[in-house]
Amino acid sequence: MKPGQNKHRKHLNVLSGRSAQIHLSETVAVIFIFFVLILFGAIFYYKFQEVSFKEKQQELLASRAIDTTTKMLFLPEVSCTKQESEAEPNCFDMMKARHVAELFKEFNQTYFELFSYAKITINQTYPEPFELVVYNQEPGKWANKKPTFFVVALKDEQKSPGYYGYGQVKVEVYS
Amino acid sequence: MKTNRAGQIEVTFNWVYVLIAGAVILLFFVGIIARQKVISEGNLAADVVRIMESIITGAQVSEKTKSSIPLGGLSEQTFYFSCEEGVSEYGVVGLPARVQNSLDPIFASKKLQGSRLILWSLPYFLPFKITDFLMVTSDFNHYYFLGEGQGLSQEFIEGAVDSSNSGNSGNSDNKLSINTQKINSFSEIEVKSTKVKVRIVDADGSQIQAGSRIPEQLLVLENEDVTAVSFTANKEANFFVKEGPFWKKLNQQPVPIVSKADHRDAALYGAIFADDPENYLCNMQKAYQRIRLITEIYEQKITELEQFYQNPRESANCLGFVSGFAASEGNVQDTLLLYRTRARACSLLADSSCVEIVEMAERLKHLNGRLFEECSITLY
Repeated sequence: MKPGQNKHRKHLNVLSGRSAQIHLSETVAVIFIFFVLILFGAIFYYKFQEVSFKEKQQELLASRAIDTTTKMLFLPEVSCTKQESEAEPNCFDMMKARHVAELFKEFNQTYFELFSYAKITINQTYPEPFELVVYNQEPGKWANKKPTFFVVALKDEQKSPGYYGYGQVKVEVYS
Repeated sequence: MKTNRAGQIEVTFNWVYVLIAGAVILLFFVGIIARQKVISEGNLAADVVRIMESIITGAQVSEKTKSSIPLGGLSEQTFYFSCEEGVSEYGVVGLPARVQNSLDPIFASKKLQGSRLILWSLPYFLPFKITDFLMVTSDFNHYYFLGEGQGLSQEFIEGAVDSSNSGNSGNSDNKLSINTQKINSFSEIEVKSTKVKVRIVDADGSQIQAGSRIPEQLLVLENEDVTAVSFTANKEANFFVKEGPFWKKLNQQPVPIVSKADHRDAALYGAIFADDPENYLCNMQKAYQRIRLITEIYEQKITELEQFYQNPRESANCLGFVSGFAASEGNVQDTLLLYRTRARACSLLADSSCVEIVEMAERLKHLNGRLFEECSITLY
């Protein structure tokens, strides 16, 4: 082999190695950018999921607040009765309601299944205002509390037959 | 030569590299899709069960109402309702979300499929309001009534049809109507699809016996899809299921219907909707537990009634009815104590002796009636 030819081959080898290196760097760069984009996408997606999860939690809390209020309003343990006929709607019999807190405490597990983490208060506004907490299960840690109010009649025949007060039931649910 | 070889290596290396990178990227996305599929299935099940829970809560508290849940895309899924040791559980078969409930009686077939679920809430009074029983069925379930059962058949069919759309028969497309039909003989039963569930109600208790033959047209259906309940004159129920061409009795002793209602008897209707005696008795156990809880409250109310009737302006008889009288007349306080004790025992073991509850409830009703007639405040 002539010395000139040898030099030319060496030069070609160097050029080919450098072009392969450039190709490899390009591919690595493309892959890197691709994964960076995927990472951005994933971060965006998880942020979006986080927001919708929070929204869903709010929705669930609102739904639970309504469910718990409904359950309380129609609870036979406190509702006003008229012998064998249907219960008086939106009315609490105070002769029963005054003792229901003890029952809820005694059968804590049973009523927890019904109301879960919540606080239920009966507030009389007329004639004389008073507050009666009938159920209170507060979780150790909570982030949100949603109160719901409902107007109720409060029948208290202990005072005199046919005596009705007026107030509201406040149901606060925790999440 | 050497440059050529280097070029070959480079090309091969590039292809291998692209293949590996492609496979990794593909796997990454397949993984994400698979994960999302599992998550959305779980979400769907959770949503369905949550919606069902809300609807069931609503249906339960609004007594004597019927509501319908269109199942849409879930019509191919099977819903299950089980009850063991006083705890009901319902959900979608094969999906993780489920709801457990130990307080509200839910009477339903073990498995339900259809394009909509129909919920029917009926109040249970014994003698005061205890709870609302929830009956759950679907448009694939058909109820056939044999005999009159002292008006039970007609009363059920009238109630099962949506009254807001009068003129429709029980088999109409009405969304709130339950498929019911009064028949005079088994030959009138028609099976249009193998997807249906057939429930025969022998209202007089004279047509179905253990070991007797299943109507010919029902042989095409699965065993668990053909069931029957037979009521006796003593207010007891016997449960049957298809076993090949014969009826198999599911209970050894007749199951007592513990109730005193004259119209739309919730405990009796519960036996029509529950597939088997275990399911029925388990839900009745929940009702007995609720009797116990509500009776405790009434026992507390008694102390306030006693204070009220100690007032000399009130008749001495009133205090007697509340806590004074003994012997044959009895008083509310003692009767409530007996009633609660019996209900507690029945909430643990619902057997035939639980019919005694009805007697005690009758006594309470009588005493409450006396309070209503002669005094100013009643127990309930």
